[in-house]
Amino acid sequence: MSNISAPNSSLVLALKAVKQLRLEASVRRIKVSQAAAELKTFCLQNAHKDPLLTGVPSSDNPFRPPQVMHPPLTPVKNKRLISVDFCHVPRCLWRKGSQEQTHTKHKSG
Amino acid sequence: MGEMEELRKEMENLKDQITAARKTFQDSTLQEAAAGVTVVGRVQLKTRKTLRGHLAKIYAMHWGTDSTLCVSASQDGKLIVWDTITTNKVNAIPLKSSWVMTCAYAPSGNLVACGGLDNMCSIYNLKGKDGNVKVMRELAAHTGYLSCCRFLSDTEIITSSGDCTCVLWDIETGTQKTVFAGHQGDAMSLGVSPDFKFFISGACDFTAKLWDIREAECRQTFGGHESDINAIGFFPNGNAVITGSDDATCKLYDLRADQELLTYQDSSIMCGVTSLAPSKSGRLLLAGHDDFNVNIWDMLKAERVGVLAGHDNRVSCIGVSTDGMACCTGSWDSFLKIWN
Repeated sequence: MSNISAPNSSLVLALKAVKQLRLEASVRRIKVSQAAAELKTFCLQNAHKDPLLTGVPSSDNPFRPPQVMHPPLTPVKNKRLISVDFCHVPRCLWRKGSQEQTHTKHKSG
Repeated sequence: MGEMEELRKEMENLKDQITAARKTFQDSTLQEAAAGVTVVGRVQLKTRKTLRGHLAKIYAMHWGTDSTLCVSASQDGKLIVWDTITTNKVNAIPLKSSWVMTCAYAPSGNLVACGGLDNMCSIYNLKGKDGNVKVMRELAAHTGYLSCCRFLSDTEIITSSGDCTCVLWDIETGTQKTVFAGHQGDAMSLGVSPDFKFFISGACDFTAKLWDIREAECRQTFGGHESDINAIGFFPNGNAVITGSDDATCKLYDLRADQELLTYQDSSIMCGVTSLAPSKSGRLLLAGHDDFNVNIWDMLKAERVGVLAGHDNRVSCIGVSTDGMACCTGSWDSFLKIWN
């Protein structure tokens, strides 16, 4: 093609740009007040379904190994001496606190 | 050259028209609408899993729709599909080109894709008959690097490229269905709308564009950033777009009001945003930065409510699982971490 095509192609590009701007100018808009209100509502209505926001209890967290808990000691009413099997003492009594960090509860607005 | 001058004048007029039209719909702000909402309390997520195995910088990751598997791409030349709960590697796929910049998991779970400086998007079938993962298609036509790719289905994928275009491909035939041209700089990132009808792209021309996939046209362009947009994503309801830029800020644009609603910035944050992901309700915005951290923002109040510090190098990619249960970060330190 000759030199004439060079200015023509920039014309073609400019025409395309104008056509695109006309399309974007004609888009139907809604008021920011309505758009913002709907965004806010969506966040608040779905907050309870957002695990990163509400926090995940360890028992429901697929990424944390389940904790093994022993059954608690039942109170002894009979005064006669009864041998106690120490294996049934709850872990929290003979261990210095849990090795896993407790999860922080998040407040949501 | 009278015609060019006239066209330039018309372009300026139309741009002024758009600015004016947006202003007339700006009867309020998101700050005002959210004035009665209390800021989210401090968000402290903990690393629950560390996925070790890559031998070089991780450039991209993408969750599968089952919220358990994810795929990561590293410049060690591997795509790894991880079971994030057991931390096992389900697949370790060697790549022809190690200069990978993006990866994607198909919604069906059957395919993964990746690409980078080879200018191609390679599709891998994870569910091949003999159990081996093989290249199913190599989508070649871009004249620049592949910066991002996202599946619409097992038969269609959208790519963004350093050649300034985005392309919709037919995977079965390996051909381009639609070329989305319009950006004046490298297209760096893309996101698909929840209803799969639209996609958004962020580019080095500092703008984000909304594209109608079937009508094959750009519907809206959003400016305001002062540098390259590296990361982009849809707000969960599909009505707003979030962008992250080298100018160290993130912005929220509403699609129906056709304008910016909020900027997420802090004078103490000086490093560019590399990646972003909203939480399931959209209330939290997680943004990965060049300074090795992930900042967590309250999206309605534009206040920083948390930081994820755990990587020893740039956070290059981030994703929140489909069920919202966890966030995954990938870094140049070669590790992926699962947080919640």
